[in-house]
Amino acid sequence: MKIKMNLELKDEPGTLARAIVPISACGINIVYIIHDREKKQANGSITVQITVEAEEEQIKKMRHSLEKNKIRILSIGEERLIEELTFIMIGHIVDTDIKDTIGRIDETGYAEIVDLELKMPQKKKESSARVTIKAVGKEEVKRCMKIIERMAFKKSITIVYPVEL
Amino acid sequence: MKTAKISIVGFGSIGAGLATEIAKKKDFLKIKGYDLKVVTIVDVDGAEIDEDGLNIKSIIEKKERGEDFSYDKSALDLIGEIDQDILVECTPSNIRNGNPGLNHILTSLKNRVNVVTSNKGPLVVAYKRIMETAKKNNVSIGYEATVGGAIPLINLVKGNLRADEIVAIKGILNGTCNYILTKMHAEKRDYEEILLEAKELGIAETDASYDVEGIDTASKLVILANSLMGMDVKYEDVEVEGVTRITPESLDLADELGCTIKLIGEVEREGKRLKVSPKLVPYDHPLSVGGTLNIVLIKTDVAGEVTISGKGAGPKETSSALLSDILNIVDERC
Repeated sequence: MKIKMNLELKDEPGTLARAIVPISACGINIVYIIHDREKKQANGSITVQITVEAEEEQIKKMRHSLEKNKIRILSIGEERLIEELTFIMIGHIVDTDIKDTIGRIDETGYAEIVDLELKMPQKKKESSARVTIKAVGKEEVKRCMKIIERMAFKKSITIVYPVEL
Repeated sequence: MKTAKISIVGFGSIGAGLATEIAKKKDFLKIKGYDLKVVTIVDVDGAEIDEDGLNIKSIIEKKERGEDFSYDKSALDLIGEIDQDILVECTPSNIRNGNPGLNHILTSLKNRVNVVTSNKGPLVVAYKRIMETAKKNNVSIGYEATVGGAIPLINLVKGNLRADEIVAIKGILNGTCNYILTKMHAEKRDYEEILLEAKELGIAETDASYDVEGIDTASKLVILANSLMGMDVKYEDVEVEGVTRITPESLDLADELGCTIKLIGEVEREGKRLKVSPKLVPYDHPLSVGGTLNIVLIKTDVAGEVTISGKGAGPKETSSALLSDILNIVDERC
């Protein structure tokens, strides 16, 4: 399961590594880290958001290990894909490797392609696809859009987004 | 009775349409207290001049017979020569350098002649310069007809909504694209087929690239951003994608979602974002209008969202916007 946690770290060199090493030592896969040094708390510490993929036993071990390293867990919980975006792609979608597009989204760790419907008219004409992405939050949806737009530009694909975003 | 002498520059479908409406509505306008006299009509073929007011019907008949105009004079020759209150600039739009319209407009303003125009090119290229020239010479310029045809968009914002700040404008600003997408969706036919049909019906120009590639919508966005939102943007600031790649299959996929696809122009003041692109529009969304209709959603700080729709093109509809600007100037200056 995917777990998101917020850790309180002192704003000094090496503290991020002190948090990551015990997590990795438990054999846990870190999916992504959001480390914003600009957002400081009143006591001068910073909050780092880390999303991991782990089993329950591994989580218990990790909590213990973090506490031992004097790293405070501000919040921890299972991460859910709550934000959804559906859009249409038009172009030579199959020829330009749609698997690669799906893979890039899935490997972000914060979003997945949950639905894809492809319509192909004739071989030489451009095909159309409807894609639904689910992500953990609005910010993550925006990041997915940037990934999609970069790929669309490279592969000459037109993206039709919803009018309200 | 307020009297105004009017010159029409450019006697294509828009210029001729305006002249026809002025002639047709002569009595109605007189009841309202306006006496509009068309004193010159200028085209590439020459000019017709009568300081007491031209006979519009006979000039249109002359044009239809393919006869040349009576005087070998250009618009620029006549600006200083003929006594006129308002010059109506209706020459074809050129968004690269704005000419010949830009030259006509600036010369007219410098000669203290008010201007009304349906020509987007000069305003896209030189909005600031035109406004400064009008102000310096204490004359007015009306350009309601450049965006949205008959929809009173510019005058609505500058009039009734003048206490509001415009945060964003979003809408369908090109009737040709709306017609093509509406037809493709309803009849599940290819873009190329519908475009050809639109050309035969006179809804699309022979060279429709200006419309279907989104250039026309982008030009209108630049005018709206500069004139209604206090921005200082150029055509190059707009991200543009047209409707040429929309497939019947993509419209099918949209339909399964309860949506259709429309070419939407949008400008947001924050982040200086101007974009023209095809968008998924739910059937129950205010912007979901079909056929050749235009629609604009204005987002303001006080009123919230205001939506206004109407016919976006055509000589008769554009005449409504031109006449509205003409009468505003007559009220203010004549």
